[in-house]
Amino acid sequence: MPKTSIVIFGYHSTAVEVATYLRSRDYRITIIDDNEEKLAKARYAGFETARLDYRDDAELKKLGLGRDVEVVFSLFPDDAENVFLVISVRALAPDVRIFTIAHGALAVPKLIAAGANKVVDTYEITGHRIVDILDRPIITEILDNTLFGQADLSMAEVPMMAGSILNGHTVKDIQLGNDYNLILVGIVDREMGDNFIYSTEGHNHRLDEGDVLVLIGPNEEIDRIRQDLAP
Amino acid sequence: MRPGEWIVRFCLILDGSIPYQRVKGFFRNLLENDHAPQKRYFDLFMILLVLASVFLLIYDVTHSLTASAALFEDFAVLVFIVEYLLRLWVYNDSHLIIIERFERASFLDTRFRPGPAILDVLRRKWAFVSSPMAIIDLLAILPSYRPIRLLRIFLLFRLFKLFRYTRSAGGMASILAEKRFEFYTLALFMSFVLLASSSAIYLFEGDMAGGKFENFFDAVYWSMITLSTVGYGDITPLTSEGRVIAMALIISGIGVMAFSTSIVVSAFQERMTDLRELRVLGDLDRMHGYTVICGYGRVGQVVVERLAADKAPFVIIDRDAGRIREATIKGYPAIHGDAASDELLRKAGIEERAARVLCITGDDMTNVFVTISARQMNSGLQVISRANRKEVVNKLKLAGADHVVAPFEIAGLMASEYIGKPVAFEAIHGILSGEHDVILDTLPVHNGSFICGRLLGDVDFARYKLLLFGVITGSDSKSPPVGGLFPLADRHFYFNPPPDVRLEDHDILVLVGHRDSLQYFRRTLEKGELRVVRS
Repeated sequence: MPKTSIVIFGYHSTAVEVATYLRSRDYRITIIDDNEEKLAKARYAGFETARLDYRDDAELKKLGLGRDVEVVFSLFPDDAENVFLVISVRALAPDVRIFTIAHGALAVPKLIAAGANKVVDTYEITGHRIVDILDRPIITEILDNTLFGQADLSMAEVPMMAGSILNGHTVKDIQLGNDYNLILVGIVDREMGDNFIYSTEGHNHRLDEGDVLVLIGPNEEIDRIRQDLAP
Repeated sequence: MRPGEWIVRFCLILDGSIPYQRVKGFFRNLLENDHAPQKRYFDLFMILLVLASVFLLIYDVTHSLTASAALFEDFAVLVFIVEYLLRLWVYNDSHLIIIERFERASFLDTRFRPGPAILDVLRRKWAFVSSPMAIIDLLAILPSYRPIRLLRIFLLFRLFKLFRYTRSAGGMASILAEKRFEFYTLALFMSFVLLASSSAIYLFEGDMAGGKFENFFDAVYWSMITLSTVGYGDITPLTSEGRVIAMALIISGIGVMAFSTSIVVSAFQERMTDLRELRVLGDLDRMHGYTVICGYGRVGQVVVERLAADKAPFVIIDRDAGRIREATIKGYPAIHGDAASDELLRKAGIEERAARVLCITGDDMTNVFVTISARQMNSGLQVISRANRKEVVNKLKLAGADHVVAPFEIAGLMASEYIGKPVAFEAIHGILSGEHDVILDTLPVHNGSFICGRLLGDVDFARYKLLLFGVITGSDSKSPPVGGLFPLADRHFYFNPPPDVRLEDHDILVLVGHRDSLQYFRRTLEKGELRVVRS
């Protein structure tokens, strides 16, 4: 499966981290900045780079947003720059997915209004994380060691295709835990407006084509169920 | 045996006696240790006692006391006497002085002479007796067999005793004392004006027939009343010269009043933040297990808001006066200062009373420095630090941080998790952040709980609308699974365990479910425990 092609704007500490994570998962990444020094650093770290004046729409168009590029990361350390880039990209390409970071709660609604699909307030999340370490040390430790760590446990979305063996079964009926080493966290029902239904709540939901199973488990188990569910 | 030896022997017995030390320690805590909780109750009791006894005195002026009131007065005086003697006792350890002198004598191989030693002891005690607060204490007791009327005024010294039991009163006095120079100037100016005006008015009107100034004291009294702008009007100048003096006096009086008011106001304004901090520190003194938050930036604000919502005790330290003001406006305890200063950390109680320190400023150097200082001051402290650059993570760990959080790392992780599976990401983050009602939570298995010793397959989690995420187990003795066992710091996390795993004491269930479901399940388990205990 060819991996999504990603463009990262702004090469700063957050961008370094994002790019490194993404590279470890085999995405195609291009780093864009208008500062040659930063680009040189990025090249030194082994990334593909492009120098571009991102304030200029004509130059942005050259990237092939939405066509060649499916995801845009706007990771500037300045909220105003992020808002400007998000709004420019959104104007050029309505379908591209945009991920950006905010430095303070006030910038979040602005970035969403500008058209970002996902805004992460880094400082807020850091704050929550600190309190989680205090409040729920065990849970935090488990997740750090499994889902977010190096251990072989990840989350996945597995779409239900037409003619899949699970079609027509209810969530209650399918005992994934026995046949696979997987936990079904919930499902997304495309027909009901992309609602997320936790598996603890929607026992009687009948699976059909287009639903997406949200699973947690070891990678090979996820691959196995993907294959088994394919018609 | 000589009397000197008797004394030394007695002192040595005292020194070795644990009950004696314990009793003395108790009273020392009660009377002198501001950190001891019992002192607060004692202070409150004494304040009430003083107020009641003063009230009784006032009542006594026009009424005759009943027997029970007299008894109460005797009781109050008795308490004051006992308190005075106890304070005298715990002021220092006399037996140590004697022992020290004795040891010095035996070291130098000279004869131990009890006379000078006892003199030394008395001198130390005299230092207590002659201290201002002790004099007030004594004056509050002495006039209680009031043979002379004038002595009654000293009974008001009981009110001064209140200073002993309230901290803010002392603080206020020290603030005004700081403006000593201004007050001296004012007093000098005032005495000059008073002297000049009272002599002038006395010169003009003292010998006048029908005049109101009978003696010089009247003149001074009139000047004072006029200067202070009170102006009773019981003594008034009758001549025009006298009225001119009065006018001049009134004008300088307004100046004096304005000047003294401004001194007091400015003194308080300058020290207001200090006073507030003193109060914050005073409150901290009585707390235990609180969190010290160094840095009230964006991260700090999020942390503080959540801690405040959980009603967990904390204190904020920040260098930036503006941020401190923000925190104070919201009603959070905050201290303005550099967290890198050891003195401030010590004042904040890092050494013993704080349970954890969060070094979460935006400056890596400060974070490392505070981490290392805090770790040195208290090895049992939980230290969580923030790294703003990747290279600092290891430095913070070396400096002694238990956990290092890095905003850029979290953002990176979230970005890369989001990219492939936005829906799963949202769902799982919803669970983790507790934004929705579905949460991930732990549930310990106790010995005697009705699930303890059962197979996982026997517990119908689905019936409780719960999802078993895994089990934390102390041992890895359970048949090693296909790859579901993940090591934690001192135990193991067993992801998605099969139904034939038996739950043991101290295992912890990790469950996903609605808040209410988890609550219900927890309660059911507790009831189950009760059943087992009864049968």
